Amino acid sequence: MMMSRLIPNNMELPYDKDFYQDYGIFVKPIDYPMSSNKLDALIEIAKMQKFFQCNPVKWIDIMYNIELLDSQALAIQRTWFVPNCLILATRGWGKSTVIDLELMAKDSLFCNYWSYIASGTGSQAEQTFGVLEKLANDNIDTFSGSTGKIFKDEVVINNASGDGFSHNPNGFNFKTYNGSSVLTLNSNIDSRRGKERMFDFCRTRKYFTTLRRKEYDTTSTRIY
Amino acid sequence: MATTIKKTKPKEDAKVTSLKEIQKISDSINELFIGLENKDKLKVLERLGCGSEYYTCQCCNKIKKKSDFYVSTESNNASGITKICKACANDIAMPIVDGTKQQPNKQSVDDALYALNKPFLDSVWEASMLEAANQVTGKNKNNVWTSYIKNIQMVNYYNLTYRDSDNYNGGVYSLADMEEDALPKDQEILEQFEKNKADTLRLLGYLPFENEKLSDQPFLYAQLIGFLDSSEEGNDDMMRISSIISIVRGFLQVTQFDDMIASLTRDVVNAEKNLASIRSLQSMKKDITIGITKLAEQSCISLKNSRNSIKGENTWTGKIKKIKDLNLRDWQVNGFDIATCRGMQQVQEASDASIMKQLQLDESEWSDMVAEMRQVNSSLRQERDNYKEINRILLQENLDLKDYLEENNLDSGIEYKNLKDVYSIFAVHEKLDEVEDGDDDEPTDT
Repeated sequence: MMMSRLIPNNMELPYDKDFYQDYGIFVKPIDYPMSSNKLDALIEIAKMQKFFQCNPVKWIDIMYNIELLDSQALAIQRTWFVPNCLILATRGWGKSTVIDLELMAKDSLFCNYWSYIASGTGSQAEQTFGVLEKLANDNIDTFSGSTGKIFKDEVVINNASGDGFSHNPNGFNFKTYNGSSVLTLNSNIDSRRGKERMFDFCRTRKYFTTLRRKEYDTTSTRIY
Repeated sequence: MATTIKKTKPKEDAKVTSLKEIQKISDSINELFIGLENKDKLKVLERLGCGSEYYTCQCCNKIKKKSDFYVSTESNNASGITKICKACANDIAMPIVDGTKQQPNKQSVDDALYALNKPFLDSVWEASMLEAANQVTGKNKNNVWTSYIKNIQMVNYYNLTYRDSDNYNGGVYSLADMEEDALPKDQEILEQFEKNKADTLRLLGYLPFENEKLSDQPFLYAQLIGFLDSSEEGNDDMMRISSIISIVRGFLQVTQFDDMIASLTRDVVNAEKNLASIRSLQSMKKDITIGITKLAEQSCISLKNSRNSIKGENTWTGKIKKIKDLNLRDWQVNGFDIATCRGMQQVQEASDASIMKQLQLDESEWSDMVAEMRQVNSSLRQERDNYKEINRILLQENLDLKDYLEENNLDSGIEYKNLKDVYSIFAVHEKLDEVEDGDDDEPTDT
């Protein structure tokens, strides 16, 4: 009954996709305290950010000049936006590298993204962290011509002598200028439960099962 | 037949003074002269001093002594005198209007110098003005013209012609400069200039360089915007703004000094003479640079002295943090909307599938569920239809409003955005995937 009341007979508007494509949307202009040139530049950066948020493999390829294997690219693209993920990979597939590249991309593309590397032992997590450092310093021979320096420049350097990668016994860590950070966790992950995690990497199946049992109930994204 | 002219010694005692005798001699010479051939006539004239002692003024067309002409130092002038005589030059510089001789002015002197092919230099003009006005020296020159013409014939200005004048070649009163004082013709520079000017007005509330030369304004506004952009927080400090404006002006002066030094150093012929000018220009440039540096330091403007700059603000992550803080519309992503976020959509699908797997249903439950679903479905459909209709009416209202704005000329300055730019990028990808899937399916169906 309501339908007949609402629809006047002489009004027929198409619910056509093309119609909406041509339909100009009015967005209230906001006066930002900067020049339009600078604003245009920021808008371009925002567009780039949105594009790379959808295409992390492209980010790694273009920014770090690292071309991934198909399986590695697939792993990154599929693990990019899912809450839980399990990858079974052989020795030498490049687990550390893929994890580190994904961490680097996540930290670069999202603000305030906290990542934790959890492994069987603290030293194993630190080893993964070490690979990230090597990538940032372009110290991996097989990636000739890589430009990890682009990422290194994003790392906050707190003291003049350091390079931003802290090797604290409580956990290796670094921060980027957009508030994102990476921290390695020592073996006793349970003691860290209070921390809200957005992105966890667990290197072994043991910890995958451990974490499932302990019911991490946050809505964060994790890769096991 | 050529007649040879015998050289005769002029008799000093036989000086002819009476007009009758002069007339007589003149007539007899004229008779003899007419009888000569052209080439002999020229020889005679040459011997008599034409082209060496006597010259014709091109202005009054009278034959005058060499001393009646100004000395010319032009490189391609073999006679060594100017084209017009002193009297004619005086008449141009001090024209007679209604029977009275006018005082020389800048324009009349310039005209006279043009006829004489001598340079008009601002520095000499000013010095001549002072000299003409100075009564203390005792050497009273009549006026500025006489002083000027005396000064300009000095060794310093040898080889200079009218082309070397300030008003020809660039100077304080340069005509060429006046012609150049226009905005650049490059469309891109003009667009940027307009943009920068509008931004300056928006940020400062006034245009600080309106009295500057038009040709300099694009540079000035571009520099100013660069400084203003370097720290948005610091722009509330009016001391800083004033310092920035002074600094920008200072940089313009430095550029001008650089240009002047470059043009002076290019002149290899007069390099020695120009040394003093170059040195003084360099010292002035140095002073301005020191002033700029001090201002920048005091008002915390340069990167080195800035207290407002945030560490890492020019890195990629620094920029995206800034974008986040600004909450730019182009940056916003509706990440939690199921329809626009692929990740969340996948979660929902997985969740639905697992629920269905876990449920073990018998027939009665199925029928109950179907009944309930039918009920829910019909109510949702009705609701959806209503919202669809409300959406249509609101859309109609929007279109009407747009038309109304357009009809009443209220839509000037309103920029509409493309739907694609506003709509979430995730959804665009989703649609693209659907299209691709659809294309793949078609051949298999057939």
